[in-house]
Amino acid sequence: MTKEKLARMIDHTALKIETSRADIEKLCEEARRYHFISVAINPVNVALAAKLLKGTDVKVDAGIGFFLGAYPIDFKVFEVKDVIEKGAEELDMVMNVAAFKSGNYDLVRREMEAFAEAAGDKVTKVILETAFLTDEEKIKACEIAKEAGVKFVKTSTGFGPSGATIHDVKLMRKTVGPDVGVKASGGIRTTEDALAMIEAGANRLGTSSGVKIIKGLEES
Amino acid sequence: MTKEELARMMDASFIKMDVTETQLREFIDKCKKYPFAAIAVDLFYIPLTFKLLKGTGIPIVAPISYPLGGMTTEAKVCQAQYALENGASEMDMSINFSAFWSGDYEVVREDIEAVVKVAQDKVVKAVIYVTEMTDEEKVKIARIAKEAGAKFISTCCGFGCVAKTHDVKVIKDALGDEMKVMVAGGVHTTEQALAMIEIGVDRIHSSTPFDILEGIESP
Repeated sequence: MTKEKLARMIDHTALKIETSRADIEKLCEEARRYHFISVAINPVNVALAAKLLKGTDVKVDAGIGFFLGAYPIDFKVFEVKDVIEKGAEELDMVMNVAAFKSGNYDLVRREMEAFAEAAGDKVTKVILETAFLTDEEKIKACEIAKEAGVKFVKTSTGFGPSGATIHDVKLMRKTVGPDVGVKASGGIRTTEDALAMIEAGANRLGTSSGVKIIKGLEES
Repeated sequence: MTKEELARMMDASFIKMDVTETQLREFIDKCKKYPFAAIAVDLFYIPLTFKLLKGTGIPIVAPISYPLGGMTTEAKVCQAQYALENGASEMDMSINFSAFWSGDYEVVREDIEAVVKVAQDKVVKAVIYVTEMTDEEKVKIARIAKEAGAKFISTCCGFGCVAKTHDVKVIKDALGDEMKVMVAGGVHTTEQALAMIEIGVDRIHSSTPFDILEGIESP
């Protein structure tokens, strides 16, 4: 693993409520320097980030339905188109966990299909919020996502009770096979965490500790 | 104060990622026993909640870009429209915190204004984060919210934010009757609720409303 390869697997993240314009500027500056594949941010900051990252190899990745996920499909479709217009090239949509836990798999399927369609050629990731799901539910959600044409399944919003685990990443990778992306997010803080997730089958990481993670690899 | 009087000042809230339809129905059933000021549910559950509350006259609160406030103004407007079309008559919108922390107060005001415009005569509450704000900032955002047409400030949006009587007082002292204050966060007991009402709070938002009401002796 090289630092270049690792950086291109990291969505450099700043989603907290305390995030200011200065934080976004710093995030983008770090992303440019380390060549992270994207900055993962809330929609309200997409236009600024897109401007700051114009002409670079860093994409803008926006949260959709973030983070409660309990929104009607039409709203999520609206949000997708809105952020794409503002410069987002990757979209991390929170699954309607409420509907899923209610057993309404048909609605979740339609939501994921609508998401994939609205996003066009942009990279789509669906956040399952694994902390709320049984293993059977994680498998089911992954299967629905794969059938719907979503490009990545992702573990966590980062705002739930817990984040990515090796167990969950392995399970998700086993379920979706080699052709769908697996993004591990939530609680990834060190180089060791990052490498462990990749070992387990993740090909993308969501973390706000990207700089520390890359530096840890350089030194090892 | 009676149970009914206290309930009339409360927003009973059940806003979480993983609320099942069964859980929502149980919650609404319990809510119907009290004359709550309003009931707050996930946007996704507004149509069902409207159906379940038919005939009760209890208003439904729609959370708008809640809790992070990080959606675009256009997205907040879209949610507000959906909420109104499906039976909500109040909106709790998290402000554009990013703009606020950056000192972009015009942007903060315009964001609230856009939702107020859609809401027309319906109540919009601007949700803030008092534990991260100085007293000056609390007054500042209350003034901005008032200019934009919001009728309430709501003190908190989660994340361990706990409203103190001081927070309510600061806003009330500065704006008086021009801005109502709803406390959200840190009010879990009857005593805490009554203490807030004592210093002039206009509404109490709680995800444990029945616990608070149970503390009041029935006559």
